[in-house]
Amino acid sequence: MSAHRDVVLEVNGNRHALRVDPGATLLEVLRAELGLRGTKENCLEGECGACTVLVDGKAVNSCLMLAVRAEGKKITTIEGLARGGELHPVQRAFVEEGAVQCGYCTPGFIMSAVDLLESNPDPTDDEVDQGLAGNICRCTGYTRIRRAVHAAIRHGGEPA
Amino acid sequence: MFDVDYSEPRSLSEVISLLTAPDAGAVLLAGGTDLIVDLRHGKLSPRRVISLWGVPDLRGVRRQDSGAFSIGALTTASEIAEFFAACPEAVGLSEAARLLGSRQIQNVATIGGNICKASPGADLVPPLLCLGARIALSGPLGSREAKIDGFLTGPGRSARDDAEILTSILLPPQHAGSATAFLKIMRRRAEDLSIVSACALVELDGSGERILRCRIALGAVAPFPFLSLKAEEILTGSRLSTQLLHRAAAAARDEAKPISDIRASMEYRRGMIEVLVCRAVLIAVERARGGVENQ
Amino acid sequence: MNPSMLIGRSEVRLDAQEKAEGTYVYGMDFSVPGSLEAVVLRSPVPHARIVKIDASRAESLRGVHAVILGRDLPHVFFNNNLEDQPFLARSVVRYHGEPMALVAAETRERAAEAAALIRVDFDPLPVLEDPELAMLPESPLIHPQWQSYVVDPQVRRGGNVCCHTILTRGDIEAGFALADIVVEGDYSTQSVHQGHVEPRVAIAESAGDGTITVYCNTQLPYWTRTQVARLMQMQEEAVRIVPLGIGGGFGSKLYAQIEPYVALLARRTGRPVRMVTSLEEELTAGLPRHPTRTHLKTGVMSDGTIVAHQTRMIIDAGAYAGSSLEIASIGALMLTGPYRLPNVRMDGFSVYTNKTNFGAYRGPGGPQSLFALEQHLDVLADALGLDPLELRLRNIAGDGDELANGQVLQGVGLREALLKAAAAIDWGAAAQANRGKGLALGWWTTTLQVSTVRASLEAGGKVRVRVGTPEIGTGAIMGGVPQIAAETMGIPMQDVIIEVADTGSGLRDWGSQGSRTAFNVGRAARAACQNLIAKILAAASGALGMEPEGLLLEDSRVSIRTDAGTCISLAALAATDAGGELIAEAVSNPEPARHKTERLSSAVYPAFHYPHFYCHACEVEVDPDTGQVRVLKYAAAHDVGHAINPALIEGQIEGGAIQGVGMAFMEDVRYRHGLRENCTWTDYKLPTIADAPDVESIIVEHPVPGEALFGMKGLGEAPVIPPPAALANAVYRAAGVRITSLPMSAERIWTALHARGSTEAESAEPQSSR
Repeated sequence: MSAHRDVVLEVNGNRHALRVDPGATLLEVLRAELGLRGTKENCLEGECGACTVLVDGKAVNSCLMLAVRAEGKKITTIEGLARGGELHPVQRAFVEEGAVQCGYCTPGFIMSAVDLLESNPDPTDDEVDQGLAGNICRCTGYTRIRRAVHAAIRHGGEPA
Repeated sequence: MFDVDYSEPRSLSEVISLLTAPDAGAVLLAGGTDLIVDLRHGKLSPRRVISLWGVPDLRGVRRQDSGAFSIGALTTASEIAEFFAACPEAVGLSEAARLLGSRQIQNVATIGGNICKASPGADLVPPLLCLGARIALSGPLGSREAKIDGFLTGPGRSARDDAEILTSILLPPQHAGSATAFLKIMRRRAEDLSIVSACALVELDGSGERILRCRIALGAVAPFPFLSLKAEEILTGSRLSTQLLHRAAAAARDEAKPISDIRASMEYRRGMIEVLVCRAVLIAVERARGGVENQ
Repeated sequence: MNPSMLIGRSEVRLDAQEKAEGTYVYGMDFSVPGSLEAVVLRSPVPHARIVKIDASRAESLRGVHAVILGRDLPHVFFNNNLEDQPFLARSVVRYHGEPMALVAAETRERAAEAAALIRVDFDPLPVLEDPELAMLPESPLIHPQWQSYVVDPQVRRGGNVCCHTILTRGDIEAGFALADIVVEGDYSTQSVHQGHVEPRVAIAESAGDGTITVYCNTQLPYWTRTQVARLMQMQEEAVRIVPLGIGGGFGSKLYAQIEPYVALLARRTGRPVRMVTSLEEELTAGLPRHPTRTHLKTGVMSDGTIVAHQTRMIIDAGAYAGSSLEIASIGALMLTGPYRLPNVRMDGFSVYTNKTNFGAYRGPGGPQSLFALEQHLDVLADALGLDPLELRLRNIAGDGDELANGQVLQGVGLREALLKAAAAIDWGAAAQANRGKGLALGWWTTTLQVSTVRASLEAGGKVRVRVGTPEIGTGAIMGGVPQIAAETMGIPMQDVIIEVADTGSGLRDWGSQGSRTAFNVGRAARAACQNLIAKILAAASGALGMEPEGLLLEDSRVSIRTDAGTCISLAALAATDAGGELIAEAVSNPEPARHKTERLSSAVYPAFHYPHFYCHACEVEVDPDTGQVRVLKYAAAHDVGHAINPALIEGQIEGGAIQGVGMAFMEDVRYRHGLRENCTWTDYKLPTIADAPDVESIIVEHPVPGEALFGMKGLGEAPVIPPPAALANAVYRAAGVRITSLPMSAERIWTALHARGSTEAESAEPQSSR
């Protein structure tokens, strides 16, 4: 059987010393080992974006990344966005614009939107669509998600 | 959870030793976006995954004094998309990188991985073909270079030896007045494999009217992405006209060997080859003219 | 703030924040310590006899705790309209992916390894893929013992036809004889999957006293309980279903699938057992939408009045009847639409084939019917030289009109919806090259049946509202219901605590489905709150020294009507209620719509209750070289009777419209020789944000009389119903080709354009007589 590896993962600013299976994905370790269940599991093949987290600020599908590969990187999950009890502007925008229905895709969408706005604070409509096309929502039809992204732009994509 | 061992060697020679060890059963890990899916579907069951990320000097794009670009094999699609976005002669490569899967995939998938996976629809390869790219490989017998044209030999097959590692891609300098354009047809507006992809490179003369040189590369319509020499022959040295463009597009269509599969029929692919070749050439010409005017 | 202003406002729903924070607990996030993981072994073939099944190697694998085969189960079927479906295949498999065995082990990987070791020998049987072939008397029977199945005797069926519904009105032949023009047409629709982003999951625990608890992301706990109890051969009260957070359902999580399995495995192993249906399994053998083929023949006078309308719909039921009996009836109602039709005949056939047991997907039968009917009406309009909008206006029903099934409509906002949707996309303005506009309209039901709610006054003056059905995403339970409760109680919405209770609570509810949730649970919540208020006023009357009639509850306190200064807060009342007396319950079970029973036979779904009306209109641009379609404008008007929360309503409209875009252009559950072809999201493509036009939602309000709270109507399903039809009509105007089968992929449009180009004929010719 595969030998476990000792790794240190930095998640949401906290360092965790873990013993992980080398074949475990980052998604599995976040949810099962660290109890961070805000990052969601679904297609497990990089098609839906529900598992999106930020690795060194960039949106990635955590289901396609081996946990051992995440050592030495700054990982941010949905749980790490709020600051001092205040929602991140993107989170707040999703709530206020009615962009949350079942909410299962919401954490992944928020992480992708945070990456988008941090690298491109004033995206065109096309850039927003292309930037978020890796996240599937089945409930909202995306109209309010677009509105939320624009609201977040107006109120500043940076955390308060 | 996959049943594999994991190594992160610190040098190319260490990677090669691990690859060539007896009973190694090892595969290389670049971005992992294809590998993990293959592991999950049981298409691959290696004993060991060898990460390339501990090896120095495999990342980043460097412009050389000659005007050539050296791209580390582990450069991500996002990095490529950003780097070449404003570069008319290589913007087709940027466009292909931005259409490769989703943003999440682009942030992780690498150019080396895209080439070595050798999918017939590998999106980054048609622009590399147009740009006359060369690749550098390192293996047990030392290092070598090869042209990208001819490197891919069939679905999932390339001229890379099992123990060789693709280390970098070299884009030779292009002449002034050159520009590229990349297009792909999908089943929806984003995040999909190509039904057909096409990249065109044109180099115009000083007047911007005559095509001095052109390259037409197609993806997803043959066992590997290829250059349509017949289309290029028709357009080279000529003044562009609608009639000529259609002849060239038809020639490209006839050189291709599209199949019918779950994504599209052969007939539709043949039709789309013609459309994409025409459109890609026209966009490349517009860009090249813009470049010519700017001189 | 004035609480009486809550209804009609776009209040933020109570669960939005936890969902945005990632702390909301979905089924996939829930775990019971010590759980085993279980998998289903599914049939790799579409139709075969199971000759031999040998699980010995699986059973002896280390870490495996149980292997259960079909032959280990009691001889019982799923509880359904027509009881024909075993919980596990026993001696025959009838579709690719049909469950044959269950394995529970320490890890999912080990369970899958064991399942792969179960050896099954099959004797292949003929595969019937085409329902029209399956209907023929000489075709082999998919259910040789069909006659022995339990079903309402009024259901007309035979052989591979599991239901034949007939709707008649007037004299169809006389109607055709009158007509100036008669047009016929054929349309077919594909199966599409609900596409919920959260998988189906269930965890069961067997207690020492023999009771079973199943935690699951079901939309309908009480019916899931029925299925579990049936398989386990237990009293329903001994089974407790605990609903968990749901990441989308759209009908897929309405029918019990894996809940009975985990219950069985928990009993067998003595350990809690968890099972997840992977996306690949879901796409292989889930409960996607029924494919259909519809033939229409309509006679019309030259002034545009429809005088005769005959339709025949063949519904592919898949291997088991499931909900296909309802689809046949619903097809009858949808194909006759909200139109004035004096002479009607509709035949709906639900037919067995060797495909997955198709199921309930938002608006079941709806989009299939409208894709046929609304395109057909456009063809009719062209034959008459009439604007399609005008043809609709001349034939749509209004208040007081009787529809084909004999039900009389009230509160019909259809004309307003039609005109507003058309205006929103500038219907009258001439279209540019390669662009075109289309519309489609329809009606839909508000499912009724029971909902039970309990309301209680809690510490701090908050009101706990306990409901028996979960929030599936629409906002009905975490938005609409607390809004109604808050307004009724005179408290802020933040002071309402919504609790979704398990089935042990006895709060019977027919579930979060069928456009019924806000309507029915809202009614029950309102009534429960009113009953609670009566108790509160009685309790306050002592404290305030005034009869209840002289008291007023407003702004979280009870005061004397004529002396507002003399009051007692709800918080204070709660503090004195040591015995928990301030609690009240209400049951809602409204009267169904009346219809004329003689018009329908073998119809399990004969009428639409508190129907709601809608029209979608759109403008598209077709790239003639590639066949790709860009949706330029999309407007959706829905008559909801009374809008409780406009943002939630718009959310339903926007979401449904884009699901409709998916069905229109790209989604397709494909079979080849009975085997599923595209079982991953790599090859089953759903709309991304880049594929979604911005949807303009238009809320129309024609309150409906009767038992509807504030005159409201259900909404949830309807938005997914008209888009394929509206978009197809627009594609025709833009490109000049009419696509009569779904999906309208770019390739299909391109092929039609090229066929037209080479033959110089249109791909669909209306036939006219006279």
